[in-house]
Amino acid sequence: MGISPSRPEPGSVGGDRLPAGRREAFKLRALRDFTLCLARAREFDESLHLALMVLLGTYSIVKGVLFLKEDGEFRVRVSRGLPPGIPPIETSKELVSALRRSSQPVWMGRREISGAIRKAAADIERAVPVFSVNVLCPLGTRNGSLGLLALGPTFTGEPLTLRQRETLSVMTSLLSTHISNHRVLSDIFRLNEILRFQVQENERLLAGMQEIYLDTIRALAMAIEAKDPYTRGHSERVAKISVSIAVGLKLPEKEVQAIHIASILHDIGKIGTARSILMKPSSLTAEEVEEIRRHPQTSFEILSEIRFPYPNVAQLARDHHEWLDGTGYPGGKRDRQIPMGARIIALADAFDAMVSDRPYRDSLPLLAALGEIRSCLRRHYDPNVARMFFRSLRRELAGDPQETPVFTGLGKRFSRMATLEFLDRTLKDLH
Amino acid sequence: MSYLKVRTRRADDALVVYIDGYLNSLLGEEVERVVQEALDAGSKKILLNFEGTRLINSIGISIIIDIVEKIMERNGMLAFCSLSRINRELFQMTGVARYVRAFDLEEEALGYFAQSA
Repeated sequence: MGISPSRPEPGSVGGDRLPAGRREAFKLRALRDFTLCLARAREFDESLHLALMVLLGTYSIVKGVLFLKEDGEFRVRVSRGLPPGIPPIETSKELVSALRRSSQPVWMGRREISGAIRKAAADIERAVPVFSVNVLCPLGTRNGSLGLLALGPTFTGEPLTLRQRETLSVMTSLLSTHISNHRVLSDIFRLNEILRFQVQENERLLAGMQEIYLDTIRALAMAIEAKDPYTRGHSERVAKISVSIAVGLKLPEKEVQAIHIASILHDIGKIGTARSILMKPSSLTAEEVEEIRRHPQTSFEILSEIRFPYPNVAQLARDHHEWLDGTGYPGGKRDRQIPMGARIIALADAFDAMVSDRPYRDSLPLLAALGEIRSCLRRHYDPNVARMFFRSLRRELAGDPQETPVFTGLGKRFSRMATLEFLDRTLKDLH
Repeated sequence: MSYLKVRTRRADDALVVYIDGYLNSLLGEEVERVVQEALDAGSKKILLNFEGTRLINSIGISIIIDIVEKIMERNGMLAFCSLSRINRELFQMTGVARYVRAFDLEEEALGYFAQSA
């Protein structure tokens, strides 16, 4: 006979008497194993599985089952020594309040046990007929019940000693903390997922809004182009060049956006200029010049009415004809009085005007336009802005791969080599 | 650390299970599986050889008592052999030693199985 529960095997290993220190060491090692397996398991169910095994091994208990409270009932999460498919245990107000009152393991042999807990043990035994509940451990924190741990009798049939009961209650409270931490973490992960989804959704909506917004701005610019066919495409070209310079100068994103909008709309004030003046094929009279010079101020007045999400859009449009030496209009501002954005738009606007046909003159050849800008540095144009402008044009002509061309109004009648030579020379001088 | 290798060998009508390494993790469930398979195939005599077992912790005890239970349910015979002193003490402390005979040598255990045939 290898196994006889009724009759201990004599002689094989000697009696059960061991120094007390050995038992203490085993208990401490079990506690250490318990915390390690809670901390190191790769996932939650594995940690519970290991915790149950350590617990059962520590007390030589064969059967045990761990329920977690989910959706108002106690559902089996892990079990050992029991058949699979254990149904959930119903919870009740009485049980929940009984569990809240006793955070310690409940020994079913005791006399004074609350009816609700006795009923829970009976429910478990009815659900698993081969199981007899010896200890029912409530799992929970001050915030409420998390689950139940039901343990069967010890392997030897002996009751647990007082010291063993103490360790068991330490283990179940560690287990409660572990389950509670897991719950909090999964809540955080879930919230995080929801937030991430919301942020993505908002970004999508914002991108959509920005498209609509830019379309509106472009539509506004079309109004002036409809009146003056010679400026067709002018505002888009000036905008591309201006943004390229602004980005090259590493201006803050908001300022770049403001420059983008202002450069599209800088001529919006021409809506108030007589068509006959815009289309006039010969030199203008002094009065006509005065009228056309009113357009930046009109642009300012129109754009001041709009609350742009970027700063100073109206001011940038107003100052796009100001020159560094104070000979520009409408304010005759000098140097730093002119905002950086306006200095950028001034150069981009002047350049595109030079290389475009106008009612009173043909377009200037590219090299002549660049020479004109270079000759007016410091008097009209900001050298830093010009350097960035030349650099941007050089990069495009040198054929560096770029997603979209910046300079679309250059025409074809120019020498690439000669222009690059000019740009290299100019950039060297500007350095 | 949790290295574990489980080998088996048939000796007449008995199955010898060699547990090499650490019986301290879920890897130990391999021993349960091997024993369950042998019982399902009709084996009645199982010998666990602990010669190469470096460490048994509470997880290992949980596995061992599960095996003891399974064999009891089937009215089978279980014996241990080649236990280190520390593992002997562990089986005494946890009560496992009261139900399972332990032998110093594998031949002694197999001889005991043969007698009770």
